[in-house]
Amino acid sequence: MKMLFRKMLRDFRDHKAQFISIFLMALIGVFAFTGISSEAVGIEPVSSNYYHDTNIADGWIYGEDLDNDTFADIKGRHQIKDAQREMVVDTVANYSSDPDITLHIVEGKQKVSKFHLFKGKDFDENDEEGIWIDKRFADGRKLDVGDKITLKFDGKSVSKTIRGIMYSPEYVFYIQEGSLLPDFSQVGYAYMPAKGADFELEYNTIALDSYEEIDEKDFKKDLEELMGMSKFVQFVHRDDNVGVKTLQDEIDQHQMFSGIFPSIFVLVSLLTLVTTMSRVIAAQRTQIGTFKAMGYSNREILLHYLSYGFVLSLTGSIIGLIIGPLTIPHLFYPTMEATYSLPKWAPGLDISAFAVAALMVIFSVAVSYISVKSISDENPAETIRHKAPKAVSSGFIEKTKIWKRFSFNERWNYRDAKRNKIRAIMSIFGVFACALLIMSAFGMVDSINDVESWQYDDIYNFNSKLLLDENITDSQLDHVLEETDGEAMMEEAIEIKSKGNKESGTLTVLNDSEYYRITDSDRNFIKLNPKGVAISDKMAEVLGVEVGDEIRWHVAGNPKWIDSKVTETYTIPFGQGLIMSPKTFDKEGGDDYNYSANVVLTKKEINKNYTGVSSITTRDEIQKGWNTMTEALDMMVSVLTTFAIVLAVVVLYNLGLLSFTEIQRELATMKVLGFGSKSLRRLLLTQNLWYSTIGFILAIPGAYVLIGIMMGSTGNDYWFPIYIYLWNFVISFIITFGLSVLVNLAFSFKIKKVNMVESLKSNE
Amino acid sequence: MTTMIEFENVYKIYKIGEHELRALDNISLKIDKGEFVVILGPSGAGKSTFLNLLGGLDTASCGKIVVDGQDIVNYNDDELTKYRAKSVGFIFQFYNLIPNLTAKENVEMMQDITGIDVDGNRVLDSVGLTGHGNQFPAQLSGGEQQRVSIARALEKEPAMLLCDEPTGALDSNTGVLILSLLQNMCHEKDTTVVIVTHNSNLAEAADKLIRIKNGKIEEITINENPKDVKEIEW
Repeated sequence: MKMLFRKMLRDFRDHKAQFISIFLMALIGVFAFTGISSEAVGIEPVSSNYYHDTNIADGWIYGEDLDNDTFADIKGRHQIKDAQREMVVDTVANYSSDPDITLHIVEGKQKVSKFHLFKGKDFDENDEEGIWIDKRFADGRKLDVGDKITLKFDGKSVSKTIRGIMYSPEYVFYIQEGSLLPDFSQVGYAYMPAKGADFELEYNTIALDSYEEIDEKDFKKDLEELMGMSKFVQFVHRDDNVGVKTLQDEIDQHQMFSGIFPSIFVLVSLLTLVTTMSRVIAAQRTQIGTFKAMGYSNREILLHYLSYGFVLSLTGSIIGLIIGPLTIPHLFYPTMEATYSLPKWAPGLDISAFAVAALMVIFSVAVSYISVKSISDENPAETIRHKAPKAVSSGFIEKTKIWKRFSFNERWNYRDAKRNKIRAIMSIFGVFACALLIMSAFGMVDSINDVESWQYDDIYNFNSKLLLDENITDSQLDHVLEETDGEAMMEEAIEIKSKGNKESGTLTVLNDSEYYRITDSDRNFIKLNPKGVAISDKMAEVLGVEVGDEIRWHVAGNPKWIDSKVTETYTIPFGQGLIMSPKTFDKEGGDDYNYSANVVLTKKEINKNYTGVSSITTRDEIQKGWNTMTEALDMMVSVLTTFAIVLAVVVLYNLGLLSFTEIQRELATMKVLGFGSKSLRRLLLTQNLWYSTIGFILAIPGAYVLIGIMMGSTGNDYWFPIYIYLWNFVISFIITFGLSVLVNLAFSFKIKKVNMVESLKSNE
Repeated sequence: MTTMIEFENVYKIYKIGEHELRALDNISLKIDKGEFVVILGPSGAGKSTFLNLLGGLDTASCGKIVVDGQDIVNYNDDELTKYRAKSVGFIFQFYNLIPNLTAKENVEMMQDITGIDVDGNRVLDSVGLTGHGNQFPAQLSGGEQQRVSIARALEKEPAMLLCDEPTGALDSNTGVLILSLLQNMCHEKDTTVVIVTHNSNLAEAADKLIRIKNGKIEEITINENPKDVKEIEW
């Protein structure tokens, strides 16, 4: 097989472009797929190992004054392996701009939710002077082991020496109040042993380590009986921990992204690879015949040609598998790191990446097999001859009068497409997929930008948002409203139930407002009925609720569920939930709920602090948070666009090359007959433009569908209109057709070089 | 002289819709070992079909084709492959060289099939192509390419050489050189050579001349004193 091996290498060299494109198709497909998916795939094990290594609590009980008896009772439950009692308090650290630190005062040894230590020593229950603080805050404030830190809360003060810098698995994601994005110099957490407290401890948290998965419903019922309604406030399952849940949602969303888009890449690459491979083999028809005449067995011939596809797709896939995870995930980590705190970020490969690589190899080998087999099964007496051109009958169009008006160029292209249907379909599909990807990528940016101005210009018509203290007095509130010329409103986290679905959301209680404007789905400002209960479109969709339906809701922290009837809907891009007027809220809520303002919105830029106001955020800050949050998406879009363009170039060039190779003889004949290079180039350009146009037109509805799917994956809290700006079509059009013409230019040189004599020889 | 090839009532029938096309219509003939056989006939007479059946590139519809005492008509694919590899050397009108192997490599590739080490240059020398071993087919003239193809066929020392219009694509001078090469091989190595052609001049050089027309044998002539190819007036 030495000579056949040599032949293969020379074939690679002589038909570089085709073989490179087979190689590239496998590479790009696997590269895009594993690269994009390895980001989310990698976070999954990193986070679960992190949770496992630190023995994150399986659940938390929050209550008031969890005394020794209660604690002993809970510890004694059959499903509980271990439990750890903590007093968790919100404190303010003695640094500029009063950063918020959540302090955990831990009783005894740290058994659950242990630290991931970066520096210093591990938690020591007997270290009365020690405190452990989180790395993000330490970095943000340039604190180190040995430094002193003072935390204040409820008139008490804790001054301790930092013994260690760490992460806690309970804080994968945390954020200062009223913001979308954490500012780690403004928010943090710390742990200290109970022995270090010089005040009386009121335990309010029990972190649980269970033998098995805790059944939330049963366990809650148990606890209510055990502790009584007054002491028991809440049980939070591990999966509902803010950090765990937010990260998991993020991973899910990324996986959704990395599932759909790269799959399209894989599909396009596979199809192109398959077409090219089968054409390459078809072109070797007479050689296969010669081999047979010489006495090579079918097995040897098969093996020879299978090795083409095998070698190329295998090396392409392997390189893709290696460089994908090494490059693309690192584009996403910075934005992920800005939001989430994990001890490390590492890409990972799961079975799907290998499956895609295997798919590439299997398909290219399989198609080689089928192509060679169909040729070698033919009678060798047939095979040593060139295949007779396919007979084409005159179709409907040729019989109409319009046909006569067609130019030669149009007729030739029509017939060529008809005779090479697969090539035509593949070309159209290639353009379709590329235009689809480019349009969808841009479309997502459009939708996000659109939504940004909707939320932050239209709905948020304020410049500052003041969060009020829980115990602000009426006169203090009046003073704030007067000084700021503001409007008071109430915002609460709620849970809504209907038709067996349950969702968390936001309840906004306000009167008709200038600073918080309500919009409908067409982005028009609307006024809500002050006596009604309005539900956001997306929330209604998620719950399956329509106007007139009954819903149940309750404010987080208040166990009393309220029944209300939905009277109208509104649309908001971010922060789904309910809106009602204070009067309606009081009426609906009955004895259990009373309206009390906790937010003041104002047009003024406020930078001075009022009594009764806990924090102030400007709209710009909120918007900045949004922008950082969507950075990951922007990055995704850039990556996808780049891939789409590379893919488009390779696919179009490749298909162009295929048709060029196949019609080379025809071109040579036409040249002999006196056609100039220019008109031949026009012939190919016409073909390219036809296919591009059809592909592009098909891609438009496709892009709407795809953007819809992608935007739907952003989570139930977001509502994205599917919006593609006109310029997006124009740019996608320019890119698609520009590439098409560019590829055509590449061939115009080849047309000039078509050797009339050589091409007309019977030789291959 | 021993009989090498025997056709007995061989038919090759193509069905085109309801019509039957008899490409070979009851062919019976004998070819002896070491004979230089020329098959003459107009286009479409069935010459190539005859050669394809003999070479195991195609199978007969019915009849017997006995080569070296074996009936190849009932051979399966594997047996046909072995038969082609061992007994048959093909020479095509358009040479059918592997374009991206050099002349030497085209010859040496036969060692894949025979398993015997081959010195390509030596074989090329014997067909008068000394020094052309490292050239690719496209760098060679038609006659040179055909000589490579003969070298390739001869390399495995087949019992017979089957040539389909071997000079069809060559000018007459080059054609004479090729034919004379074939004739020499035939006489020196006792290889049976069957040449299909429509060039009747070659008739004078044949030991046995078979004329085919409309799939039937029109005439078989034994030439007692065949001329040397080079002596024929072309």
